[in-house]
Amino acid sequence: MEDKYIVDLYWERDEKAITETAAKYGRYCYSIAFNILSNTEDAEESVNDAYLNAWNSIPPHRPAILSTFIGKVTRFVSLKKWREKRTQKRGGGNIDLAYEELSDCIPANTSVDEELENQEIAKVLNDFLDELPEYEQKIFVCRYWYFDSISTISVHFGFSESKVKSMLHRTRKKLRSRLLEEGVIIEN
Amino acid sequence: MKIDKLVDAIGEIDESKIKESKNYSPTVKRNRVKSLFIKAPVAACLILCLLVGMVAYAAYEAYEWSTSILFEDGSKIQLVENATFKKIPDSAPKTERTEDNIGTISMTHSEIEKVLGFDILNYEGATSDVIGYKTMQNDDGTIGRIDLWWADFLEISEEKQMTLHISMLNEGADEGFVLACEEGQDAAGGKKLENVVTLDSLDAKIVIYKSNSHDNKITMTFVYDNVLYQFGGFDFTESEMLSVIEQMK
Repeated sequence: MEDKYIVDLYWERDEKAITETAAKYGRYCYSIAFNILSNTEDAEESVNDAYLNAWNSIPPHRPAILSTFIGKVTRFVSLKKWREKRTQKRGGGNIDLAYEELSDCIPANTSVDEELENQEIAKVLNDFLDELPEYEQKIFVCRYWYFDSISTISVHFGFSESKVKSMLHRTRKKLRSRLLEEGVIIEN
Repeated sequence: MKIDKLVDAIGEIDESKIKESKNYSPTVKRNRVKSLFIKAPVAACLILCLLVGMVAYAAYEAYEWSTSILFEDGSKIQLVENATFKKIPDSAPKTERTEDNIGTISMTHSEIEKVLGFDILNYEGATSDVIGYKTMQNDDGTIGRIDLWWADFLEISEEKQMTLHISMLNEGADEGFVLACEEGQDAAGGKKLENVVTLDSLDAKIVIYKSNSHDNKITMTFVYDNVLYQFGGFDFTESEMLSVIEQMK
């Protein structure tokens, strides 16, 4: 079923909207949730929570791209769940490694300006990503939006794992400079 | 935690970037080395190796592609090692995905066979004869890959349904399409092998698996006449699905 019809079902409060979303984007959402939670049950629960969130926010929202919308909700819900549990459980999952890598962008003697809204930081990130070569941009998004593993990215883009790691390392270094320049991170 | 704020902000980046990085269309491309600054003897050896590689690759590109399924335990089953490319007529319609259009044309089975100029497996008992036809173009604008999506292949009830996804590569398909096919149609993780059977009626090796995302779904995939078929059966048993596939011709 085409996305616009699925969105119409949400607007009509027809529960088939969720069935259709699950049929079309269930696997996509599950992969996002599983990348974050590394646990089948938690990932399934997050995906179900994401459907419920979508149900509660459409209407009034009318997403332009349903796949990305439901993906964003899944990422948000899964991150929330992971954060609740991270004090009890730290492992070598994709997200733990991605967090470790992202700490390169925020050195120890600095912090993120808490006054800034996420959207303001996202604008800096968008401008930064726009200036990157296409592959570097996509690889960055796969790693830090989808939390894909290095090996998955390597297969998807046809680069060796070491090449992916070095590209990400370069990108993070450039991002750190940009975040400092733009005042997103400030020295303590 | 300060990284949380950065991670949350990454979550708010433009939707187009999120979508593009995970484009469902397999547009995988091998990276190409743009420049090399090396000494003459090393360069000569590299050029020689490159020439040998190009000849070997040209032969590979012209005649064969392969596909296999990777399971969550790391094991891999090859569906086919040396499938050949289909010759898709230049007159076949091309589709393009845009923001407003999913880039799929609806056709009947016989219309598709007429467009392609060769046979595609058919099932007389299919619930619907409406099949989605979608092409992906090579860099030079010719068709590289065609996907057919038979969403209402078999509908017994609201829960018990079977879908069929068919893929084929055209002669001269870009390397990206060939590489994407190596992973099969379903590159998502979390697959558990259920069985491998050979169906005499089609002389095809059928790999049967389940994925973590759907407990009630069985996937069966095989290559027949150099075309990749993937059935998804919700609430079907293995034998029920095999019985349907066995009747296809």
